Amino acid sequence: MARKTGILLLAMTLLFISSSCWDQRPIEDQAFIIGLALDKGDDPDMIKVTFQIAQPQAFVTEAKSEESFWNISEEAEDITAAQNQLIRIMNLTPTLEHCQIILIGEDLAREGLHDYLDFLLRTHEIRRAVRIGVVQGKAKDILDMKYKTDLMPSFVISEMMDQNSRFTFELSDFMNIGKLHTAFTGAYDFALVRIVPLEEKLDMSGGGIFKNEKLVGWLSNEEMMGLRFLRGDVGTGYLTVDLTEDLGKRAMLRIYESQSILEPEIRDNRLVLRLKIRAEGDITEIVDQKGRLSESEFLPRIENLFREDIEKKIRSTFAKLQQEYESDVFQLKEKLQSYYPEYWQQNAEGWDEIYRSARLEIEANVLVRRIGEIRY
Amino acid sequence: MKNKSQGLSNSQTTVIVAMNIIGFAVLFIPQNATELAGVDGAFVTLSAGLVSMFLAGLIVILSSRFPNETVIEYSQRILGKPLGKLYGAVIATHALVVASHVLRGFADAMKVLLLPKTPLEIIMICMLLLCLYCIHGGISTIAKICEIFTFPILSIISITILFNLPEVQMFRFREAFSSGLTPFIKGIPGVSMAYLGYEILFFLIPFMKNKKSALLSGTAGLVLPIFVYTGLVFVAIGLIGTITTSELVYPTIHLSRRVGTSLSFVERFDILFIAFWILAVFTTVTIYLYMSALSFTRLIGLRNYKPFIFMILPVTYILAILPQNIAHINILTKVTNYTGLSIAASSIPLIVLSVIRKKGDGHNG
Repeated sequence: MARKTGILLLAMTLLFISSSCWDQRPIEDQAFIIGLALDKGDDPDMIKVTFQIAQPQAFVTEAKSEESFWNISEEAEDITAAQNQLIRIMNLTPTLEHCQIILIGEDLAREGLHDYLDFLLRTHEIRRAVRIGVVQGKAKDILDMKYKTDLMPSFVISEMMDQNSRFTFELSDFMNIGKLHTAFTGAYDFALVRIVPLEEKLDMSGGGIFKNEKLVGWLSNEEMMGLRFLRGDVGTGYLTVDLTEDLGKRAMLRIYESQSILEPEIRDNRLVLRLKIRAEGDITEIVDQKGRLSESEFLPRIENLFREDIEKKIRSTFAKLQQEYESDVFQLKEKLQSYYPEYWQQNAEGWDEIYRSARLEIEANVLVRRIGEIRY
Repeated sequence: MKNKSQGLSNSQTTVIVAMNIIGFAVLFIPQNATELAGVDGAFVTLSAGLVSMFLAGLIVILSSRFPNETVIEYSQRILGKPLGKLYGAVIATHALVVASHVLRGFADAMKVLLLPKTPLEIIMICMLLLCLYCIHGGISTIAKICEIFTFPILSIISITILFNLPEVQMFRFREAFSSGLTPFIKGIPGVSMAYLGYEILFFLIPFMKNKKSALLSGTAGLVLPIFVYTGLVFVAIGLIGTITTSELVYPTIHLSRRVGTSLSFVERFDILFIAFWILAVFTTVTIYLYMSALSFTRLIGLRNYKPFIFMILPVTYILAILPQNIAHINILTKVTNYTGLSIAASSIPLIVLSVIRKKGDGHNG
């Protein structure tokens, strides 16, 4: 009898213990923040944080008249204060666990990122793989836009960054919160993908160059391609090149496989960057093709043209980064520290000088495999 | 509970040691390794594991000279009654303090990662009650629990390591071995503290079925932790970078968060990781409490340790509540680590003394 009472008591205790009452979080009371936009506030010391909060009710029935998300802007000294101010407006508890994207406005980026991002790194709610991008304009405008393809802007932007960067060279999703933290702790420069708000839509291409955690300039589409080749995170994309007179006007190559390896080398006390590129692709379009050359004559010539074009683009990107902005956004400093630790320990202070006088050597190999369905 | 006809099988001994070691340190081993050894962290972790394997082997050799006695009894034979009793008391207290330290560290991690509003005391009491229930069953129950838990804990950690392996940037490892032996000398003592847990081998030999293969199964218990720890440190350095890893408090959780980000149905894998990590902590606390209860019983000369568990539990709880903040916990960590390492290393002088004084059988000498 005592044993049965004991077992009953034990069972009830276990029931109570395993229900974790203190930390119950009913899902209806949660406000899932799916996107964050940071801009400079109207007040000079404050920042304006725009939270995009998902509304799950909108998905339940056919009532599409309801918005599936809503944006709230709060002006505060930093993100923690802004999140606390949300309590004054709604009856839901905000949580950043499902945050998909973080957008930074141009004005805040030019001032410097470091002060405001500590909260995002210290909290346990945000995943380190959350993507981050810089907006040429006000970051809030991107979250306010209406998108036709999907319901919520944060998901649209995050998926765009993730998927589209695999189809074109002109944007990249290389940076996320985790890599940003690495860049802060090691004092590396980086480049974030650029989003431009247009009238009714957005344009995601190119990037923003950050030096010392401040935005210093922009990269155009072609320069972003050069950067991706320098950085090593190439995928697939398109390459357009002008042809010589006798061949035609223009040709477009669809690169479906590419690799690039950048290795620093110290030669005669000077930094040399050895870049090995390999790109394979098919020709997808030739505009105004003139000659009727056989493939064996045509292909090597066009391969040459493509190769020179890639090299030219990479060199111009490198020159812009090296001379004009003096920032190395392609992990060069990290690689140098790893490849030549003793050299780095001796010459760490002179990094700017070393970078400015570095030389780039490119070994490119472009292979054109097929020319599509028609021959001439 | 000594049964001559049955006892712990070889695999059970191995998993007891392995589960005791894999506990709390899983969460922060990359931070520990990179802080002490920089980019050589992965190799230092491997070497520290081998050193610990060596020390564990010594403990087994020592215990095998007295196949039917636990350390409490044979230390009195080697060192004489008063010194032996003192040594036994040190081990008993050390096990108790480690148990409360792991309990407190676990509860703190829970508050940060999973249950911010639940009072610290409740988390600790719930864990303690479960451990009480498990210890009450005896060493064979503990062994069976460890056997069952090995697979889930191991698979979760393996998934974390394997999923992050393709994203490791190998160029970060190019400067490994560039600072010579200094990282090893600084790192190995510090990191081998994460491998502590094989002190249970002082007590297990009398309960084993095949005492002749004790050396093999005892040291094999360290293979699993070596794989787990080295893998985690390797992936953390390759993925996050040396300096950044040393600045993260729970790097392993960040590694587990990246699992499943390319598939869309597992968004928070880290919750799963934490759930299975709780199992690992449970086994660690249980085994240390068992060690402590057994030691205190044998010190006084009694055989049945079950009443002692009830007496130890409140003491454990009080010790776990005492640290006020994370600074105190770090001090406690240092104290327990150094004591643990000294106890493990004390097997060497004990072996020497036992040979000199001609105590102990020639079994497996």
